[in-house]
Amino acid sequence: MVEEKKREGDCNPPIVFRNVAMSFNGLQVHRDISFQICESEIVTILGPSGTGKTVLLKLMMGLLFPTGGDIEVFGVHLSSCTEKDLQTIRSKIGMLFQGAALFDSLSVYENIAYPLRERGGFSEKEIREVVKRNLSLVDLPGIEGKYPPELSGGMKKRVGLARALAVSPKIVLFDEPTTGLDPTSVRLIDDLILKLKEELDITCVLVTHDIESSKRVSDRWILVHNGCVLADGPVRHLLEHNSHVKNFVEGRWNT
Amino acid sequence: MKASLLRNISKPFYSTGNFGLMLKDVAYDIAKKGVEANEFFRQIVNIGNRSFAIVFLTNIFTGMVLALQTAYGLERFGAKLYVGNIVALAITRELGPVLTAIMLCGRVGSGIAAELASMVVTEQVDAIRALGADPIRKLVSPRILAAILVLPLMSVLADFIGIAGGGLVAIYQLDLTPHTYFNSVVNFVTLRDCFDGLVKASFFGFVLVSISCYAGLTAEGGTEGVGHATTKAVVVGSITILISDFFLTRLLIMI
Ligand SMILES: Nc1ncnc2c1ncn2[C@@H]1O[C@H](COP(=O)(O)OP(=O)(O)OP(=O)(O)O)[C@@H](O)[C@H]1O
Ligand SMILES: [Mg+2]
Repeated sequence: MVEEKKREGDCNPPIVFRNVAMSFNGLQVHRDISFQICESEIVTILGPSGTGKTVLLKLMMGLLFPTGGDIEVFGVHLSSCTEKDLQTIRSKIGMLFQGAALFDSLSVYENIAYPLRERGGFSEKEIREVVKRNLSLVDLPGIEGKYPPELSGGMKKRVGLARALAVSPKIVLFDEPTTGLDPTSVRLIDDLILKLKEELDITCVLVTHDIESSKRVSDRWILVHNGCVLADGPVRHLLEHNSHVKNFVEGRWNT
Repeated sequence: MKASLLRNISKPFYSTGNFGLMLKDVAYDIAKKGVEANEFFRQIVNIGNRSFAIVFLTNIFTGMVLALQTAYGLERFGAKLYVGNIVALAITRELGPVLTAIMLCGRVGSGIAAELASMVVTEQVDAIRALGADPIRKLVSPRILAAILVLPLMSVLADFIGIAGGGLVAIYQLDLTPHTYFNSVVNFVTLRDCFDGLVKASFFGFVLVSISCYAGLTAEGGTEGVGHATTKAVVVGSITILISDFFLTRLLIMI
């Protein structure tokens, strides 16, 4: 299978984790995490609540720094980066935060325009076009003038996604993109993720508890628990052959 | 046990170090790129708006009570005529800037700490970094600069209002003529007194807002963390103002 071949290592992986460990004030969240994510692949990171999936995404963006091991993004070791290098790397990655993390003091329009303005070099007309296109991409046309506190949780999520896609990233990190969305919107997001990969060759890393949606879009699953990778492989393969994954998916997880 | 004890003991030192690092970042940022005009003006308006009423009320009553008290004391050796001198000196050199700063700790400092802390716990600060911007530049520098500018302005206002408050009592309660009172003020207070007051106010503005920003940005642990940050900003802020007031006054008298 294609995925199998990719895993051998000749896939030019934009993200590589090597023996990454992470702890917060003595609380060990990750012990030894190693994996790589290949170009234009859709990978879902699974794991029970609180295993540090969000932390993994933040590590990929250089928002947090590991206490051990090494992370490589686009061939650059994050540990040797200055804040400026990190900004260059981050500008190629879009991230949808778990709680959307929209700026409350800015309108939806300004929220989506934010990364464009930060990067500079866009005319107001171009910005307006990007905002409009991205809002219709997430099926929320015409809400430019609203403020985040006026939006529902699911709408915030989708605006957050529109913002993450504003600067045409090469990698998009989704932290629970479909939690709190109605089935139609879930379907919309799933299709959008597939479209990103198909049309734009974007690498997607998802964290989700929505197994069904993840089965639909992912090429590969990584199951994380207790600070280690328990399983890593093509979705169908894991579902058939991996007992951890089978237990997790069927809700018979006990540690 | 021992580790946590050690951590608790080292925490204040660690925080002071990190606070220093934050200030260094702010200094670099302002030196290198100036300040974002929009946000700077927004913060000036913000801080000014929030403080106006409170500065007015605090200082008019302080001026009034100061006149009452000094007259009560001065009367014992028949020196009631000097009420104006003492009120004016106390207000311009000391009470105007200090009371304004202490009150603004509660009004502005707590607001800033709460705002930044909730941005931290809702991942908005992470989002700023993820979108290629710098939280110091976006959030901290404009606020600190605005405070350095606004506090002296508020302190000028405080001087006028405090002296006017003292005048009300002097004229209506102590039966001095307006002429005597205001003459004693104008002839006694020097430009240097006013200048020292303004220097203090600027410095307190810097102290209170930088402490509030630090408290907000280092918040952790959900909504509870927002409460902690707010308390910390007010308590640490006002104590630091009172302590630094002594040393700053000493310094200003010396030079
Ligand atoms: N900034 C931080 N400071 C201290 N501890 C943190 C921080 N971020 C995360 N943690 C801790 O790391 C652990 C993992 O958190 P994380 O948010 O990554 O979990 P998660 O797998 O995303 O869970 P969920 O599925 O519920 O979102 C938690 O125990 C949390 O308390
Ligand atoms: Mg999470």
